Amino acid sequence: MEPLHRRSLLKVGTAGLLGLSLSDWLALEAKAKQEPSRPKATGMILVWLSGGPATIDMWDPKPEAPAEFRGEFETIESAIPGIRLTEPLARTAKVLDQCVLVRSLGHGLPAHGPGTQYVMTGNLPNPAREFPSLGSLTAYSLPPRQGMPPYVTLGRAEGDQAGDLGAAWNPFEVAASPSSGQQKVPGVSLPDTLPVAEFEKRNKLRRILEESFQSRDNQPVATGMTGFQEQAVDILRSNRIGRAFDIAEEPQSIRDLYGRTRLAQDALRARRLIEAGARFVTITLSGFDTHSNNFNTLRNQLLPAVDAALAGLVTDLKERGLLETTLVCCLGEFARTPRVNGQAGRDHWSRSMAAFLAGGGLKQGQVHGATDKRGESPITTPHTPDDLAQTLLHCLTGSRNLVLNLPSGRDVAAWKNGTVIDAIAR
Amino acid sequence: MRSIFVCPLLVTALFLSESRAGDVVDFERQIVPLFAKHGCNGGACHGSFDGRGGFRLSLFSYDPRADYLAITRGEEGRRINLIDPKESLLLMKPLLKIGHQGGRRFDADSESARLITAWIAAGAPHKIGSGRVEKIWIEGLPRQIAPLSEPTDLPPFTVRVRFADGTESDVTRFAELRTQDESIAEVVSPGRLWFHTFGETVLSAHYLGEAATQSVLIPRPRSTGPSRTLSAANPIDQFIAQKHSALGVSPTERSTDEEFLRRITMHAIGALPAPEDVRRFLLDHRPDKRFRKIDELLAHPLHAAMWATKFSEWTGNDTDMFPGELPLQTHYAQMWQDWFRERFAQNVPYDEIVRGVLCSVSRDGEPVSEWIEREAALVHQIRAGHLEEYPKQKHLDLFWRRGDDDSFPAEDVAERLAAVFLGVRIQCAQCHKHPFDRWTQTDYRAFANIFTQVRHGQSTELRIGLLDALEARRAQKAEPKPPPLAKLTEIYLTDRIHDLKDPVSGEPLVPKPLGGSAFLSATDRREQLADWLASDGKDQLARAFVNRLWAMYFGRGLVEPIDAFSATNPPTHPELLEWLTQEFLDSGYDIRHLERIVLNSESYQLSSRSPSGPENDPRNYAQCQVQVLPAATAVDVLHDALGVPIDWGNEALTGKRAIELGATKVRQELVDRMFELFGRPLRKTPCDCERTSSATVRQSLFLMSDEQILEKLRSGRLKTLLETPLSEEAVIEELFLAALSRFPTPGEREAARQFVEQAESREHGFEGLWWAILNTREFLTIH
Repeated sequence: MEPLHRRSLLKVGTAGLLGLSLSDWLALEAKAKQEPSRPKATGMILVWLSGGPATIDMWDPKPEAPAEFRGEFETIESAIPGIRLTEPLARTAKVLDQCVLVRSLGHGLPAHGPGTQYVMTGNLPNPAREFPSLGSLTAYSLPPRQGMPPYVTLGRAEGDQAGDLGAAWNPFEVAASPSSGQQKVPGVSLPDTLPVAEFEKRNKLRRILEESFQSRDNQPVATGMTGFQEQAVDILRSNRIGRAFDIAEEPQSIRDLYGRTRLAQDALRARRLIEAGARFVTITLSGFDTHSNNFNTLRNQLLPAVDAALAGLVTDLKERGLLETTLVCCLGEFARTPRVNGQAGRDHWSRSMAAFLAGGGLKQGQVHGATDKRGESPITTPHTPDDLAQTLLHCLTGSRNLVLNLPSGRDVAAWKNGTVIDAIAR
Repeated sequence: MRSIFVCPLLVTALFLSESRAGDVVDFERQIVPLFAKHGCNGGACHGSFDGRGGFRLSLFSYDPRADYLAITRGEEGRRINLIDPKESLLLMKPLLKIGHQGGRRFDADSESARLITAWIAAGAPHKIGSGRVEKIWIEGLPRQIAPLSEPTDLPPFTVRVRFADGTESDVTRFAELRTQDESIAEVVSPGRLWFHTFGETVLSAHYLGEAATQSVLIPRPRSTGPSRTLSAANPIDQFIAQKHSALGVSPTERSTDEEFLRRITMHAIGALPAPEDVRRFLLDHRPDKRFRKIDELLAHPLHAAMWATKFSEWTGNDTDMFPGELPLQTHYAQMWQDWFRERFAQNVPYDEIVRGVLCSVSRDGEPVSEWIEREAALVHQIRAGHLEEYPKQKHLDLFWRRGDDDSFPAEDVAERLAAVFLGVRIQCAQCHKHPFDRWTQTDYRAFANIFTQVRHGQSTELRIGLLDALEARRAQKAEPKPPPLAKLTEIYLTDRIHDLKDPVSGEPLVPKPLGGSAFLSATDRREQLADWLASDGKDQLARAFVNRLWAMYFGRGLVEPIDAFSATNPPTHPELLEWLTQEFLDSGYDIRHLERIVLNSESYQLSSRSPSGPENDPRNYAQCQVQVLPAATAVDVLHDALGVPIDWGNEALTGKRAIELGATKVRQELVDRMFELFGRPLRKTPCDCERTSSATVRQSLFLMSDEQILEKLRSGRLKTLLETPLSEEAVIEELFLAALSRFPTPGEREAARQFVEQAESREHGFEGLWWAILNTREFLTIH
């Protein structure tokens, strides 16, 4: 916030003419800035590219760099004038004016485990704490919506746990079956062996059996449990989550929008989950650890799936009027060496990386930050995963300094370092 | 807008009047306390290690000199503006005249704003050491208020201090004031408490890192409700009843035999009583049947397992921590668990158990060559399965198998042992003076230095021994090949000690127990600690254990959290805690004896139903607190009811119960998931704060809809029952007894009968009933 303060000092001249003192002027500005900002986003989809995607081959191409850096991909013009992406991301390039790229991210942990922890939590890993993931923070900060678990991971994702915030905020990890149709989602849906009518009947009986325990209702533990039971009943009875999984309900045109890959199906399910009231959905595509054969792997397998899924998400959310309230974020634990190695691969590189963002509460249609000529490190506005995480949570909660009450009773700040990237958040 | 124009004038006016009075604002006494009072220097804000927004204050004002520098020198001096004080960042930020992540902390016309303005205007003076406090106390607030009938102001109090220079001062306005339980009484303004409801709470006043506390007891008016007095089975009840009468609280009735049996069985052995146990107990008419039941359960082999699980959690039996790979690590974890279990089964005096944990070296005088061969064979054996004989070993050497030759995590060990054995959380003092206690960084480091002498790895002697042994083997070429030697490690004492240093002087600190005197002997410092715990430290050692034991049975400690004894966290029943501690010491640390007293008290045996008044204050023990099941007990109890053994998959644990398990990792998917859902502690943090003390939606979802559970619900106990010739009535009864340890009420009997009758089949009907019973709160809690 300091730059803003200095800038405002420069404006004092004009303010003086209007008869305002410096304090008055600053007060006005502070008022505008600190007006309890109403969060813009009510949910978020995290598209996790596991293994560390080569962002130089995606979001931050260097067509002018020597061949051993440039790589094999041609670049194309995007919907933001002057901004180019690589050619395999052609569809996303067309909607880039509704998105935000942060090209000046970076950190110092080029190892999968710690890198994942860092990016997923927005806090530098520290043996004394198990930091909660962004999804857990979101579930913790936003009120749940009826009949819907707040935090869902499709498949499994490393680093998506709640850590010392407590197991209550862990995600519902759902192994979605590739088939379509209304799904029974283990853990959050009633299984086939317990039809909803039977469930209702049993639940009615359960309520009768609860009566004798009401003599303990002066104890918070007892009443708290009633609340949890009722929420569970809502989730199971409505099976909103199971219905959200039924992508067969979607018209062909929408399904084509996302492509027909597994990632596409997950992305579509993620949108349906958000629509049904989930707060945070993580989907994952693995295989980005391309130490060798980087270009073929990206060209033939990974980028077509990413391109279709992201373009599909942005277009579809926009058409449904959900883009304003839904954040989309796509990145991995780090990026890859700008210099191509001897096996046409790229190795781990965390000093510079890019993130793709879209939707709720962001100032869309911009590229924030830049890297040097070879994409090796940020040259303007360097940001760490801390900044990115705080920006996302700020969009979701409206709060700049989230304080967590840990089960140990201690209040701790959610973030150890970093600040909201005001240039991209509204 | 108006206020913006008005305030500067107001501030100036006040400032003028202040300076005319000739008072100089004292930085340490009047400005520094404001940071704590307005929450600026908490760990989540500027008190954090890295500060906040580039501005760092010492956490809870432990270092006023550093604060002075940060304020006057930091941010290119813009934090204070001597020429125009109100343009200082130190004022504009908390007044929110410019952006401040922490928001508005006080108003422009507040005394805080006035003081800061006046102090800056006076040139921001600092008299070093003026704020050194010698004594702090609370005045004017009676410990016991006369009975009140409706919410009101309580008599005003003042916080007074005597500074090191001998001056005394009223610092009420500067102190950070709060009550432990704001639902009972709340600080509404400096010196004023507002009473919300009856009960007891503790008022604490923090000022410049020093604290004073006082408990306030607000009794209920005598007239309301029928009054009952706890009958006294033993002195515990007298102490509890004294508090009841002081508070005007009337306890609930005694537990029924069914309630009692279920509660004690769950607490003592982590199991449900079988239906025949319930029947037998109800038919037993001997007046001392509860006493007998308690003795029976305390002698039960699973009771020791219960304690072993607790001590595995508290001492940090973390599977990940052990050297080696997975099956080996699991076996180590089991040996750790079993070491404790053996001791609790034998009712070994507590001080001996403590010594067994503390004092361990691997070789203990044994010649190195012999030890190497023995240890190699041992590791080989452990790889294949956990060592049955391990518990016979005098010491829990596994506790010390941490770190490597170059580093031993002395500080971790210090924190953990302080918490386990002394009930003190010293973590805070690693970086700064403990905000709520007397421990300083010096205390912390001197205590940690008790453990800088111990190492885990290969001593020079062992390394040479290994080389010799390898040579000998090469020469012999023995068949069959003896077990490999390469990675053998030992616990040993080093003479190359790197003691932690005094934070100010930089001199290595002499090892010293918390609150004790320095260890000057060159012998094993841990031995000296054990000796200290047996002498000067014995009261706190016993007190901390008594409190843990109490919490195990009452759901909360007399000091809560159980490992947070501190000056500002006094026990709810100090006399009771002291009496129990003395009793424990007098008995020669006899754990069984202590448990017998606690469990035979009327206080333990109260019902969990609400007493005549509606309010529930767990600190009063007017009713038994409903408790969620610890994870291992949840797994065991659920399987007990379902009537199926735990499926451990490939692990060699067939027939074992979850509380017998040492490892934190289980490969079997369902058990692993249940451990996660019910919050099995990962045993990674030194404090007792990983346990889950409330239920979650996920638990309810799991029990209501998990396919494997639904399958076990059909196949276990229910299936067996339905294959017997028992009548519907009798099956209903059995299910209630199996899950809830009681007979159904007439209403429940009728509802159950109807439900079964209306179902499409008998099996279907009972399955539904069984599901409903197992999803009640009554089943899922200890009560």
